Amino acid sequence: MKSDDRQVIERVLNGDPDAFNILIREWEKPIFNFILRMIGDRDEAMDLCQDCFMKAYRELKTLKDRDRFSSWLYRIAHNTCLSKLRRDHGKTWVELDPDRGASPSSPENRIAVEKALGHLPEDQREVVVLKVFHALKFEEIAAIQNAPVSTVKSRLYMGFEKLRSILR
Amino acid sequence: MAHLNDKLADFFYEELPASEMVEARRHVAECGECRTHLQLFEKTHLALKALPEAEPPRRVVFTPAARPARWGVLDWRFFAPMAAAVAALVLAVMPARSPAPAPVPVAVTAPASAPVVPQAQPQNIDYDRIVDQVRQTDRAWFADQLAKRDREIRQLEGQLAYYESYQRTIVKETMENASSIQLLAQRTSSQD
Repeated sequence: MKSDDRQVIERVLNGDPDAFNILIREWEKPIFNFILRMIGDRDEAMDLCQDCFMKAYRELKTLKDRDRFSSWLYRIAHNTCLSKLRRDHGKTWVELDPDRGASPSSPENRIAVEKALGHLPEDQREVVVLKVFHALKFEEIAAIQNAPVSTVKSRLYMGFEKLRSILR
Repeated sequence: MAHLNDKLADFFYEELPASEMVEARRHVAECGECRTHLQLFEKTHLALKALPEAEPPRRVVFTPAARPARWGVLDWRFFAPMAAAVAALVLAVMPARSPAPAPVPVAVTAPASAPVVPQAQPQNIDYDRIVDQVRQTDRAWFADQLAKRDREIRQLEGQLAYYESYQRTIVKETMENASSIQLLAQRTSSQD
């Protein structure tokens, strides 16, 4: 939870819809990156990111615990990705994007890791992405996936194990 | 303490309760098996963490628009006299301000390079409010960055403690090995 999110949420709910742009500015990049790592296509990820914020605005009044805005937003992004992945069943890998600048240190390694991540099952990939890139707590991920904490941890271990076997 | 096993991730991400964390650190310093598992885990984490973050290709800008008229298909002139009469009646009976209709959100995307600006409005733009919003966001961003750095420092301190204790174990093992070799050498020379 970013420090001022709660105040901004109050402002939006008190009739200042413009203030929602502050929340978008704060969370656009992490949510976009989360969706991109789940979907793999930049343009689609951008569209879904926009959908996600629209849903968040519409549902904002249903958010009970305003200190948990980020988890709630990730949960919306999770549902958005899930619907998309179900629609495009079979096309769940992360496609490599040639436009993205390669890391100067080891581009081959980066590509291999990105490809390996794309080969993980959705639920494992999501846990790995939320834990490694977004530093969410296990409990937060469990709330997003609507699964027990123990299941989330198992998914992380299995995901890491698979990544190791692919990258070996 | 037993091996870390299913608590390895909790230990690595520092999500164990403080007391268990201390105990686990002590155990890891002494247990080669757990250290190996931990190193493998860390290697995978770091390989992933090295992937760069992508910049969104566009920016989402949220513009609340006025709700479109429900009776737009009919000529407004038809309703004008009736509306005027109703308005006069309402004003006479209830002079208090009625609430504005709920805005309908419209998310429009702007190029990522372009600055986020509100859509042009016919009324005066409250620049002070916009500047205040930007300042508030920047303050929140800086606070967040500071919190991130603090978290990183705490993680590094934890890692440092782990490596120090690992180093101490290695030194201890080396000393033990050296004394064993010395003892063996003494025995061998006495046998000769």
